[in-house]
Order: sequence, then structure tokens, then C-alpha cells
Amino acid sequence: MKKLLAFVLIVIASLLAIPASTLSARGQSVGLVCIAATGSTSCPSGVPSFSGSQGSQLTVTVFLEGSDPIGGFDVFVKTINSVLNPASVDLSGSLITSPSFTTECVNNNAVQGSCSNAANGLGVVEVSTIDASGNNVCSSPCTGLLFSITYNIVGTGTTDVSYPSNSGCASSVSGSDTCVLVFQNDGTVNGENVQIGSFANGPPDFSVTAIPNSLTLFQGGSATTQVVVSSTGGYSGPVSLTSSVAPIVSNGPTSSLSSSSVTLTQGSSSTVILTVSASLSTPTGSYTVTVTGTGGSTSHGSPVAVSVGTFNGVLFYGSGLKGLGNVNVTATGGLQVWTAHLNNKGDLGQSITIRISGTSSAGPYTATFSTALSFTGKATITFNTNIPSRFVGSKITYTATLFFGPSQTQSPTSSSGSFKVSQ
Amino acid sequence: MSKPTRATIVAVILLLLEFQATVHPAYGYSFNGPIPVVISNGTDFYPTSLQTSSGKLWLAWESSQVGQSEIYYSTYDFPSATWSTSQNLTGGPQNIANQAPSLAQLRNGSITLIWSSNQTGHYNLYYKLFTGSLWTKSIRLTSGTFDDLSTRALVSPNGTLWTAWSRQTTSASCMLGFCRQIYYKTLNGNDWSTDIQLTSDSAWSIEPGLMVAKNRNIWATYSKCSANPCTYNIFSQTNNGTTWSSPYQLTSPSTTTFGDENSEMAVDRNGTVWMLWSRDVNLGGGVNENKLFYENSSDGGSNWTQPTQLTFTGTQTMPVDDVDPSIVQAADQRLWLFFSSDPESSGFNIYYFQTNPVYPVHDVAVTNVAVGPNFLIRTIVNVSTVKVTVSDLGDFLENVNLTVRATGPSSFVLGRATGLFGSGSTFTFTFQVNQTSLLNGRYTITASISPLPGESVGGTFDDSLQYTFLTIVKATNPSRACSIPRLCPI
Repeated sequence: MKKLLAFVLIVIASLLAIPASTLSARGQSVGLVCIAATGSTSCPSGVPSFSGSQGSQLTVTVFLEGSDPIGGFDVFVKTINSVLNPASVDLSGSLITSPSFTTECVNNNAVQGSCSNAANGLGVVEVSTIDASGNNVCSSPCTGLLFSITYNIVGTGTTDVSYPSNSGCASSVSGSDTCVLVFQNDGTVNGENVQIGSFANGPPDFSVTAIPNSLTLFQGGSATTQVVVSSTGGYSGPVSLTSSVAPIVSNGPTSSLSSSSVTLTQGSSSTVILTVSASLSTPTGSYTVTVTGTGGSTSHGSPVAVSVGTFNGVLFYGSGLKGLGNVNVTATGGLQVWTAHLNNKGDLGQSITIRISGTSSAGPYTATFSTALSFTGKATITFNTNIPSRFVGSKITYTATLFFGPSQTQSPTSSSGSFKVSQ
Repeated sequence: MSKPTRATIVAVILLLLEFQATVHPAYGYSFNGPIPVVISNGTDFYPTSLQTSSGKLWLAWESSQVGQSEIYYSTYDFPSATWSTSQNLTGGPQNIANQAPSLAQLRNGSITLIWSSNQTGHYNLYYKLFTGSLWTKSIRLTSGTFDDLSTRALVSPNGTLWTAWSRQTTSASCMLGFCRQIYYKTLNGNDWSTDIQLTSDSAWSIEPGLMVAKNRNIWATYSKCSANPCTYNIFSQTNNGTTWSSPYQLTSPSTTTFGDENSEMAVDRNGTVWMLWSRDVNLGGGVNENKLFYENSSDGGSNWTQPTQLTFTGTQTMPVDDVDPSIVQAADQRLWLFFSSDPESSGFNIYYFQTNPVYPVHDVAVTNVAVGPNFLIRTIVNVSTVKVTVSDLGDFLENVNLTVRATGPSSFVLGRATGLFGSGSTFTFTFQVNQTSLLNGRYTITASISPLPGESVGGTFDDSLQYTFLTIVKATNPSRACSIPRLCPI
């Protein structure tokens, strides 16, 4: 109630002093409200990590950096109270040197004023105050302590030291209802960004998680998933990574990781890519790929369910795609006659596209051919592509890639070669 | 740090002598490979490689896709023996073809990439610079309604960037209506030269290679076809800093094949000059394939070994093309030979061979001769300072004898010096010239070191370096001296 009164007084003062249209205007520079260690003289460059043993206390500060002038604030801070349980708040050393109309709520218990805002609750601290002078306490850029919070460390685990959001909160954070409000003596709401802190006090460890943890692929195909390796409990150090496939069968799927190790810092995560591949002779069925991370003497695994289905696409077979060894061109160009050896393992009428990409001393060469297959199983088709005359006297080396089906899936087989262009 | 005692120095020398006695020469060369380096979608061509002063090996290549082709690069870190994730350096709009990249390192450490792109409808050369953390935007280097293709680049010891390429134009007067000639241009400081035509006969000349020899001559190689149907032969020309030599035919492939293409040259730590190329080989049954060949010269390119085939796989039913070689003396003392190949006829990827380390070698070089002032004016400016920098590029402790001569209206020994050089060490000797007893005229200053015991013939080509010219003139008006020295009469 006291806090509300303070704000109302400021607003009234503002109404007397300035046009109403400026009441909701934000200041010129956007500052930063952050969680910082005690004694800090600026906000940390990144999210600070805190730790501490169960049964001890932790004091953090709520700090303001680079703000427009301030005359008061109303800031909420939230933690998981089964880990960090707020015990007290302290305005000593605050930018607001003569706090008045102060509200202090801890765990929804009013130390001063009343805890009427719905953002209050277990694990939440609210501090609101204005300077008794009725003036701004600093000029832009305004940097300094807002208040301190002391927590009892009552459990083990992790929690953010963050700011709750509630529709009942006026906010300095543009476009949000984050319960962080910093304002000037005339009621102008300052624009601020916010930066949280994090706390962890479990034993140093890491986790390995595959996202997604199931993959479906077809014979001759491959699929990928992300593997996230995260620090918990303040773990830092290298984590080596391996992958394995079970059951082990002849021509079974293979797995590979984009990196064989990651190095974690406290609270950080790293992502590597797991690729699972099946050959055309891989037995269809279900497999499990396990990604195992090992750091020090600790190992954690993350299983990925893999389902290998029957290949129903189109393959090159035998000599694949071959053209004439020598293409004669005239001043208007010439034709390369291609013969494609195809194995259609799908339905009659399956559409295919053959893309030919090559290069030569006369520059790159590309061509595309599409058709619907009139056969299943193995057969050959022929088609022509134009060879511009500028390639005369050069040798074109090429790779042909094959695509099939309505979504033009790339076939696991490709074909390559070279041909000369003469006249 | 305290100075080593004489006893310590003697002990070190004795140890080094013992080392010399027990090591065995690295030559002959052996090749390990092929080793895949870029496994992508199987459309990778035209690798080009560069050993940078930072120690990393750079590789760029053309990755061809339907409708467009892009230039990618990756770097190799020797300590971790890993390639970086490949990066697309072009990534431009669709339907743009980018062809045949080339890498070179400027004296300020920047890496330049030069390639060909058809974004104007014709293939022109473009370049961009990597300045340590960022790539600049693409800058167009040539323009016109012709096609500039297959560029190569190098930076000479004096810091000049050379780039050569083949230019294709249409003309009824040329063979089959197409002219194909080798062009080059240079970058000195911030100034690009004009496009300079190197070849001018009626033949087609394509796919240049560039190399700077130990004697600082620039070598250009290219494939030449004189009649349709083509059989390409490789020719070379050298530039001594002033003029180009006449074309010299380096290979004579079977006239029933397409011949030799994609020539690349490099000089190794021992001074051996290498040329690597791709040769069209007839497998019978009307089937041909490209194979890598090399030859080398131990005397700076005067005499060459017979062509030696490096790759062999491939059959009539499954020919394997090995094309677009690039060769580099790498920081691990090995030669790396990159190329594009389709070993299972299932797509072109980049592979490489490594030689055994070219180690140990004897090689001390005169790396710089500086003269200042280079105009002496009688009674006004009498003394010039000559600074000669000598570096031990080899692997041994060497006793170096340096002689500096002046040749001109009179010839004389300007100074001598000796020094003990450890591997990797550099020292600058300073001499002075006093014109009072010399005739007026232009003098060439030549700094030479005596060939080292065990130094290969090829390794001696950097034993000498000339400075042109130190000029001694009379003052036309002693009271004003010669205000514009270069215009003063000799």
C-alpha cells in the first residue's frame, strides 16, 4: 500500500509538472538491471553463476547500469525456494540513499509495506522505494546498487535468479510485463534490459541429451539428431563423446558424431550432431544408437531409437550414368547422349530427376533431366543434354546426382565421369 | 639469458655434426595416399592449396551444383591434424557459376582468393581478402565480353601478387572460332597492372600454373593445343623480373589422346622443382581416363626427369578420373598434392597425397639486398650502405661465407663476411660503399654465399641475389647538387 502510495504521489507530481502525454514515455537510453555478486561495480558481461553449500547463505545484489536518471524502482526477484530461499533484503548502499515509501516483500511476507502484487509468492522478493528527496538520485548514465538479497541455501540443485512476469506489473522492459520497474522522479518510466543470474550447488556433473531421441531412415539413407551436452552443478572440463549401435548385425547402421569431444564451462552447453547412416544392405528394423559422454570418471549415455525402413526409391546401378566419350559440337553446340542404368525399387511411374554438375577449362557445366519411370527393377534410359559450343576443346568432368519421388529425395547413389568436347 | 660458453657451443656443434652423420637423405621421395579431405556431395573440383605464414594449410575448391557452383575453403591445423568446417565464400545468387579458385598470401599476411565468376553473363575474375578475421566483399578484377577462367596466383618474394588465367574470346580468325590465350596481371602495393597477354600464337593456351623459383624467377606453365582435335602439351615460360623467356615444351603426350592439362608447379625445401599435371590416358575400348603425372628437376628447371605416373586405379568398365592437381610445400616439411577424383565413379571429391618429409636439407639463402642511397653524387653524397640479409632455411648449423661484389664501369669486391647460422636464423650484414675511388656509372650489387657442403644444386639458386642499380654520378651543379638525382647525367 505504501509502495502504491509512493507511485501515486510521483504520478501526481508529474501531472502537475508535465503534460500527460509524457507519462508513459520511456527515457532516452536503455540501461541494464542485472543480478551481480556483492561488491560489484558493474553488471557482469554474461549470466553470473553462483554456488554454495546447503546450509550456508548467499547474498547477491540487484544492480543498475547505464540507466536514465532514477527517482525510484519496484523490482521483483524470483528463485526456486527449495534451493535458494530468500531470507532478507537490504537497501544499504543503494542508489536510493534515502528510501521512503519502501515496500519489502520476502516469500510473500511483508517486511515493510504490503505484498499486494500478484507476482509475489514463495521464492519471490519485491523491493520498491523512492528517494525521500523527491529528486532523481543520479544523472544519466546512472549506475549503482539497487538492493541486496540474502538467501538461505536450503537444498541442492539449480535455479535461476530471475525476474517474474505478471500482468499486474508495470515494466521498464519494453513490450513485456517483467516485474522490473525503474522510474524517474517525474514518473517517467525508464527503459531497461534485464540480466538474470544462475545458481547451482549439486555435485559437478554433466548431462547428455539427444533431441530428438528417435530417428527414421531408409536403406541407403541417413538422418541426424542433435546431442546436447550440458554442465550441471558447476561442472567444467572436457567431455569425450562416442556413439555405438545395438544390436550389432552384419551391414548394420553406422553412427558418427560431428565432434569427438566438447569442453564445458560452468552452466554451459555444447551441441554435436549425431549422424546415423544405413546402407542399401542394412537389414530393416529397429536399432538403438547410444551416445556416451565421459568426463573424468563419470559417463552418461543418451539412447536414440533408430528405425530403418525399406528403400523404395531409385538407384544407379552398374556403370551408372555414362555419356559419349567424345561429343562433337558445331558452332551452335552439340548433344551429349546419356545412358542411365537405373534400378527402380519403388512404384511404376515414379518420377526422377538426374542433375549433372561438372566443370572444365571452359567453365562449369550443368544440366538437368526429369522423367517418370515406366519400369520397376533394373532398366536403362537414354536422354540428351545440350553442350554449348564454347566447351569445344575442353574435357568436362561431371557428377550426376539422382532424385526420386514426389519430394525428390536424393538417391544414395551418384555417378561420375568425364567426356571430351571436339569439333 | 646468459651467453653460452665456448665449451657449450663446441658441444652443440659436435652434437650437430653427430646428427649430420647419422641422418639419412630424404630422397627419394615416397608418396602416401590418396587420402580423402573433403567428402561432400561428390561435386568438388579444382582444389588449390596455400601454406600460410601462420602455419595453417589452406585449401579452396569449386563445388559444382546444378545451376550454380560455389567456392569453398577449409584450413588444416597441423598440431591437431584436423580440417576446419568448410565455408562457402561465394554463396551468391542462384544460377551463378564460380570456377577454379586460387589462393595466395600477401606480405602483410592477408590471404587473397581469386576466382572466376559469370555473374555479369561472362566469366570475369574476382578477388576477396581475408584480413585475419573477416573476408572482404568480392571485388571485380577483370571485365569484358570474354571469359576469364582457370586463374592461378602467387606472391613473389618482393611482395608482388601475380595472377594468371586463360581468356576465351570468340573470333572467326581463331581455331574453331574461339581464341584461348594466357593473360596475367600483377598487384604492386595498391596498384593493379593492366591485363597482359602472355601467349599470342594461333594455338589454344589454357589452364596456367604459376610458381616462383628459388632464384626468384616466375614460372608460368600452361596447356597448349595447336590443332583440332586437341592434344594438349604443357609449355613453360619464365620471367626474370624483366622479360619472359620463349615457350619451352615440357611434355609430349600421345597424340591419340587429349593430352596434358592442369599443370601445377612447386619448389620444395631441397630446391627440387616439381610439376604435377593430369594426363588423358587411353584404357582401350574407346575409354579414356585422367591420371596424375609428375616430373621434377633438381637443377632449377634446366633438366627434367621423365614423366612418372602417380595414380593408377581405373578400368574400361569403371574409369577413374584424377584431375585438377595442386601441389604445395607444407609446414610439416612434406609436399601435399591435392586433386579431384571419382574413385568409384560415384562423384568427385578432393583427395591428397603426402610425400615423406623433405628433411633434412642444407639451404642458406640471400633473402634481401638493400642499398641506400642508391645514387651517389660526387662531392655531395659519397657513401652508400649495403645491407645483405642471409637466412638459414635448412635444418643444419651452417658456416656461411658471404661475398658482396659490385660490377659496372669497374668491378670489385665490396665486402666479405662469415657467420655461423643455426636452422631458422636470419642475420643482416652491413657494408659501405665510398664513391671517391670509383668510376661514374651504374653498378650491380651481387651478394653471394658459397655453396654449402651437402647443399643440392636446386638449393643453390637462392645463394645469390642482385641489386640493380647503385648509380654514381657527377654533380651538374655542385652548389645545388643534383636536385632530381634520377635525371642526373652519368
